Amino acid sequence: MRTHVAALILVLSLASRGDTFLEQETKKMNRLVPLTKITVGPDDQYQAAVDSANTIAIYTKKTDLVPRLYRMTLADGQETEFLPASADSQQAAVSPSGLVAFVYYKFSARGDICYRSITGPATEPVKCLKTEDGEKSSPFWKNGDELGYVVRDIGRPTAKVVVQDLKVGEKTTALMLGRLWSPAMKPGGKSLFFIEMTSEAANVPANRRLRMKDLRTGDVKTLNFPLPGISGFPAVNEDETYLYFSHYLSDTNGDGNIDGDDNSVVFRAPIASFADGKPVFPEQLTSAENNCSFPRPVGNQVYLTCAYEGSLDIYRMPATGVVPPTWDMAALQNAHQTARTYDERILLLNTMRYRGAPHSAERLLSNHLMADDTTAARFYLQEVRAAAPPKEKTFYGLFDHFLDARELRKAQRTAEVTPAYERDELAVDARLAAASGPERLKSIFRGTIRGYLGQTKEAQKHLAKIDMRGKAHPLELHYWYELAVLAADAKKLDEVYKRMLTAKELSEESRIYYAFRYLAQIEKAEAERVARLDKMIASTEGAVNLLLKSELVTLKIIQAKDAPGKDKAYAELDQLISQSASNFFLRKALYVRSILNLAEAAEFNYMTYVAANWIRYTTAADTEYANARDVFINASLDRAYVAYGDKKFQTADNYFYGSLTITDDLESHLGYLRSMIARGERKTIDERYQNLVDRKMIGDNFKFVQAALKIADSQEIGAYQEAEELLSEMTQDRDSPMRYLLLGSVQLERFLRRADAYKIDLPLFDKTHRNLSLAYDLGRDNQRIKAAALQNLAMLHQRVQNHGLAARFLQRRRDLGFTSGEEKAANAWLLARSLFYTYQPERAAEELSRVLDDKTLKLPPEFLVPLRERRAFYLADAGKHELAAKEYDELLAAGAITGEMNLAKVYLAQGYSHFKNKKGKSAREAFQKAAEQAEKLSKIPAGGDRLIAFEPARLLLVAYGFLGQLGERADREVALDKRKNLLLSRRDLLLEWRSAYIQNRLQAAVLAEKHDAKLAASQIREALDVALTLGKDDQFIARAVYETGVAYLAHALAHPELYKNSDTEQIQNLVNGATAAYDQMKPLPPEAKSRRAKLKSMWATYNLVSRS
Amino acid sequence: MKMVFVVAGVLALTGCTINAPAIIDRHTVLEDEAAGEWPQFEKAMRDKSKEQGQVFFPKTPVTAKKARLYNVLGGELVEAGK
Repeated sequence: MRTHVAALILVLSLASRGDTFLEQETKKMNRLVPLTKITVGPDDQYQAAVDSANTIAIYTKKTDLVPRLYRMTLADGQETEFLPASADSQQAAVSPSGLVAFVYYKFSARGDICYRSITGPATEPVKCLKTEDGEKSSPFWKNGDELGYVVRDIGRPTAKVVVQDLKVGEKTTALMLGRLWSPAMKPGGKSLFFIEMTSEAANVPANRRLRMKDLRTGDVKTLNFPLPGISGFPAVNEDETYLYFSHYLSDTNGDGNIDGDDNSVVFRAPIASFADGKPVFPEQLTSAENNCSFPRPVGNQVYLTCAYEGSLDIYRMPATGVVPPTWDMAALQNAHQTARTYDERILLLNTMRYRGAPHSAERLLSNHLMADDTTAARFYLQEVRAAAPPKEKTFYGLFDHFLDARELRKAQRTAEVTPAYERDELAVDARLAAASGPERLKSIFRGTIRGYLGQTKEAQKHLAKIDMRGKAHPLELHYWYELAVLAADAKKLDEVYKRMLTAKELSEESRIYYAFRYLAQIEKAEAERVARLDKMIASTEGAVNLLLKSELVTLKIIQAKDAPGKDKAYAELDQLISQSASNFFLRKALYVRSILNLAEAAEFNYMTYVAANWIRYTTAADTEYANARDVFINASLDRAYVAYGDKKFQTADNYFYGSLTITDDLESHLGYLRSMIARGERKTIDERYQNLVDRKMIGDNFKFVQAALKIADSQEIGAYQEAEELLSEMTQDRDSPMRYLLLGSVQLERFLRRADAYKIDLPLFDKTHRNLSLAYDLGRDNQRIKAAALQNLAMLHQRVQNHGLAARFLQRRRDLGFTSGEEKAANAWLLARSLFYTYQPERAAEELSRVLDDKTLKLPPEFLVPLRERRAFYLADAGKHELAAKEYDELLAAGAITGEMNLAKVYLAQGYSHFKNKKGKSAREAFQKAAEQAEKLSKIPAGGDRLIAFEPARLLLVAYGFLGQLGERADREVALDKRKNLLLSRRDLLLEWRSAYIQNRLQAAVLAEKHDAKLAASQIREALDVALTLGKDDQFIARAVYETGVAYLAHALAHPELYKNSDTEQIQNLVNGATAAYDQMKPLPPEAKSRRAKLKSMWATYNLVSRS
Repeated sequence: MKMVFVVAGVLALTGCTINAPAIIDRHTVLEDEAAGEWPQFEKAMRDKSKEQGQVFFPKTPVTAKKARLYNVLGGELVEAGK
């Protein structure tokens, strides 16, 4: 309750600040602008082009390696095919008048440059340029009438940028020649931008340049950006004031090169700043973490392609980037302080520099080194060394060698030390030994290299030689510390930590960081943890000392045996937290350590108190607020979910309520509703929310609560429609994965209820899929949302018979675990069905065995029979007939199968399994029972979830078919006769009843032959009559036709007397028709060749015999 | 048991529906002929499967986003005044 009260006090104390407090607080949150997701996976979608009205996006979607253009209406996210599926297409560019140019592979494997309107249907005819040979790519609009593109010379790196006037046609004008690509310009603009390769060598840094051609004067300039890495994919905004481009800033994949395989960031620079040809420092718009590229500015927004949520997708952000333009230097410093990654810090440092703060190459060098980004670090190292006083230059020079060693280490994908790797590292070691520079730093780096090579003793020798008393550079201290982590024993390591934790050369933030790492390090030394901690506390002072003490107190909370003892220890922690209030780095480290320790020990109460403290001491204007808010939500929700799992619903609703009153978070709202309903407090919900509404603590998000209550109160379809409307109207948390999840779930319910056999509401299907996919993508980091989205997506796709995708979703859902055995059984039931439909019956049976064999699930007894019956069915389909028959025998013997329909089906399946096991008697009995039951049944028309009409006649047809092969001759003849009659009276039951009829007649003839050859001949004639009708329908190559011909000729040769009066013309037609049909098959398959030869030879013999 | 049959005609096309397939696949027919029907159990399975909100897992593993919140960065390693 303490959290609950704390939350309320906090809210009430702040409530006077605005009309709708929580909305305002949320809006006010100072944070980097999150990217808005436009497309959703699982396929890669990239390179969006958007019309100037910002209403329609055309982009490439790659499915199974096939790229095709799609169109999306941005207002509602509706996606349609832009071109027919018959050919590949990509690289869209939209003209101001709404024409879309693209590369189309319909008419040429090398691609054509084509265009059509942006709004027309996929079938609208396209126009393609008549162009010269070469590989065409990268269309762009020079103006409304002139379309430009690149033509690459085949087999050579050279290319040219050309333009064709659509009004004149064919004639092209070359704008640029060279090793170039990615041309871009504003339609009607003055300058053309493009990328040009300056060197073929891969090891030449920055071997690509972004260049600009003035189309009026013809002047070409290289744009010089003082950044590590290379630029690509330029784009110009609508008033030609800014150039946007991608930049590969750092070596994110650790291969030692910055290139197109690394994470990209997006920059922009004012085009006017390129006039004097001097280096221009551009504005960084995204962080390397988001890996964004292909910027397309439209109005005051930029569309991007980013890859950080599983697939390539289209995103949108303000034209000014993710750092709010309103942030002054203090806000930027604040954001830098509260950053959670080095990439974010680099973004903020570059923003500060762009906005006028002095540039600090040292700070960028430090961040790139800490991020282990060696290539970019080298760039700033050169700058730092160039500016260093002469006596310090050798200090930085040694780093160059160390970065060589580090890059070699990073290039090793495993811990294995190969001879080649050892040789290369030792070569660096030799260079370091010979280099001039401070001996202490040399020993640090040389020791580290030995550590990389697993030569711990050699590394320790270097470490022992190093005397770190006296003043040291912070970088030197850091790498000395890293060497100790790599090679030192516990005693030496504690000595090193002591030096680091008390180092005056380091900032307090750094000392806290090493103290934080120290605490993580001694976690592993369980027995000595407290003793080592005590000793270190005695050796330190200030913030570091307070952090170490707080760790000790947290351990006291965990170790206390009763609540009073824990409360007493928490009071001590609370006091230390108060003392740390003014020191951000200390406070954050203290909170994080306490929360991690308390979470590990499942002390959720105290963990939530710490989280509440964190948010209490953080103002909404602080960039830390968004983080503190998330921490608080996580802590409260963790506690609430544990309580819910233990069926302590009151505790759960307390924590959910505590969270929602501070954060207005949708997940907390739904958790609260569910907990309150679980404990029978539905009415109290209305009172509580009325109170929140009256106090203006909830605004737009109340629609979410109302929607959830609508479907909790009523299962009528109207309730779902109203819920959908409410959720669709939401604005505040519109992009929350929870909104998408509830919206998609409501739509799923409507979709399932509307579906009628194979008839489905396709637009509703599309909307449901999109919303659930967005819930999955945006909730990727929330297992609870992800699991729900996956389950619902699976149900949606299973209903439309898209079983491959449904199985994938269900398998991913299964891997996330379940909250009950029944949930697990439900997942297995659905997954097994989709596996069966995708030709994996054995795996389907295994899925059901997983739940049937797991006694810990405690499934209700009534679940077991359907699960066992279906497992037997899948086993039978998988060819595991013994197992299937055993299961069927047991179920039937126990009387577990009831009802005429189920008995008919199960006897049929049992009979089939016995038949396959060659147990004729058992099979016959089962088929007879199946037929008996089936005869009692009536047709059930298709509709609702029943995809096809249930036809008992089909069961009879199958049963008679098998009975025709089992038992005494007379019984078999009766069965075959019944099947024949059924085939004739219900010709609609099978796709091709004639083949089944011929087979039936020939089977009957075989039986009759032994006692009545005349009857057999008449049955063969019946088959012949029907076989000829197949031939008339161009089906002479059907197996049934061939078998009829062979049977007729063989029987006629054996009993010529029975065929004297027969119509020879009929069999001649069959033989000639079949032979001609085989002759048309090119090439003739071996089996067909053999059939043809047999028919011809038998016909020749028949002719010979009949003439004689 | 391995048979395919024809649906009589093609179901009417309407503005918001897709047409039924002319030929029904083998699995649908097989399931219809030889797999038991358990309407109550099927409903229970569907009800257990449909999620109208988050799944109430008592515990979830620490995700990258959560770990990021608890990430403590090293201070910048520059000499005082730089």
